[in-house]
Amino acid sequence: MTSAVATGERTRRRVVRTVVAVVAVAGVAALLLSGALGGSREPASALAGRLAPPLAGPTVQGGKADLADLRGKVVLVNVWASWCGPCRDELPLLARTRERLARQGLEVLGLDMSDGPVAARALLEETAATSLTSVVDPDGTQAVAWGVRGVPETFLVDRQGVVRERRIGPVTEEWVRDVVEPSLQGQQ
Amino acid sequence: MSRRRMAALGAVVGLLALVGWALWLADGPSPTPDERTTAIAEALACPSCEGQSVAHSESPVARQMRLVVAEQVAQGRSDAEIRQWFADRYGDDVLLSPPLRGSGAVLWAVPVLVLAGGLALVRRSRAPTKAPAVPRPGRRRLAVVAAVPVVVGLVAWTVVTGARPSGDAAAGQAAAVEPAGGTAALLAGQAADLERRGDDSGALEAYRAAYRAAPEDSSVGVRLAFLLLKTGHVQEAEDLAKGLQADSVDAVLLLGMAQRSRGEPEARATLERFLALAPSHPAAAQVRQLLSEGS
Repeated sequence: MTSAVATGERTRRRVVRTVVAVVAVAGVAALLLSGALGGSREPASALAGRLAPPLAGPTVQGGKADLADLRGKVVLVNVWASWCGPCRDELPLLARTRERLARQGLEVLGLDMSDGPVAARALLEETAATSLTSVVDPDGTQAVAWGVRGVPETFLVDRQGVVRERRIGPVTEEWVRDVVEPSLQGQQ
Repeated sequence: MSRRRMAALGAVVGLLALVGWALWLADGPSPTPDERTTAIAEALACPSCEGQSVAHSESPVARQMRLVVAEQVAQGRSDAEIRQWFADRYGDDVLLSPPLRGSGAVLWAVPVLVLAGGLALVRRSRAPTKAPAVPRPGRRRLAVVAAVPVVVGLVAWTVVTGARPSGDAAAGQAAAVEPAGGTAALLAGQAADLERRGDDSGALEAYRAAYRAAPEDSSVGVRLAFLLLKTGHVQEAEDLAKGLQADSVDAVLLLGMAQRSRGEPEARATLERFLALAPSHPAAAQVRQLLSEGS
């Protein structure tokens, strides 16, 4: 009788120890794993694969523009500002790229963030980029809807209106060649 | 025997008290829109600066995000909806206190499981053993068993809720960066609307009124000063920038730009100070270019 009780007690002790050990290991593993995954997550991809947020309103040039009207085209949404040095460098390339690839269905729509129309227009003239249409976003709230972290940033929106790529920093010839041009190969 | 049972009971009561306390804290008086905006902004990470919340960062993106939070609060969206809206755009890393899933859920589960383990140990120590009972170490172990769930519960609660200051402390802290009163916030919102429509002179008047209503609100001051600079009111922009808090990088930038517009020799030192304070500010590259042109 006594030995049966002792055996039962030992078994229970083993079970309790095992459960505690498993829970502890699983807990620590879950915490480490979630930390590791959190660290390696690419923040730039939050919008990728999803429908582009709305982008519409008055333009730097005094007209109106709406990204929704450009459905069926591949659109580069370029976030810029007149006070941003690298933007000054990339605007001519964006204007040239738009001109060169327009017939293949490329459009560029700017988002002029936390800026004033006078300074913005001056920069467009200075950089020979007056052909680019830009929605004004003086308080930067439209940029936040796009998950923008700074300027310049450029998003590639496909013909279905889905965000495909995001470029942090100025657009380069290589990026146009490797990312933008292949995206134009789809159905027109 | 009864002492051991009391220790176990104490642990359970301690844990329940903690849960009750957390629930009581969560169910306080309903906050004003400004308080909600601040609380939500405090739980969002500024995506362009290291280790600062959206509420406490002076970076342009953080300022823009605060405006969006305020807009969404005004639209009647829930805290969870607003947090999700930002997570959809900036990724889950933008959420400073994690949602109650993944590691958060594990942390909540830990005290419960430790308590269960503790109770199992208590039961084991009550069972008859071959060796004569040694009461003192047993009692010590019981004390440990009783203390562990309480400590783990406290840690879990602190981590999961982010242990943010609540009530007056948080409101006081927020006053430096958020619109202080309803009127000032309203005027600042109107000013931003006017500016968006390109009505610089209307926006200027609204910002001036907002700043008069809440001169301690440096974010309105910064926006007003930028608009003054843009519209050619350089002297006024410079005076305003001097009056803004000295550690605000935007104020330093404004001061430097105003001094530069007026051809003052201190402009270089001020702009260099701005670069030292905020080397990765969105305007930093432009400022570096200006400085290199000047030299």
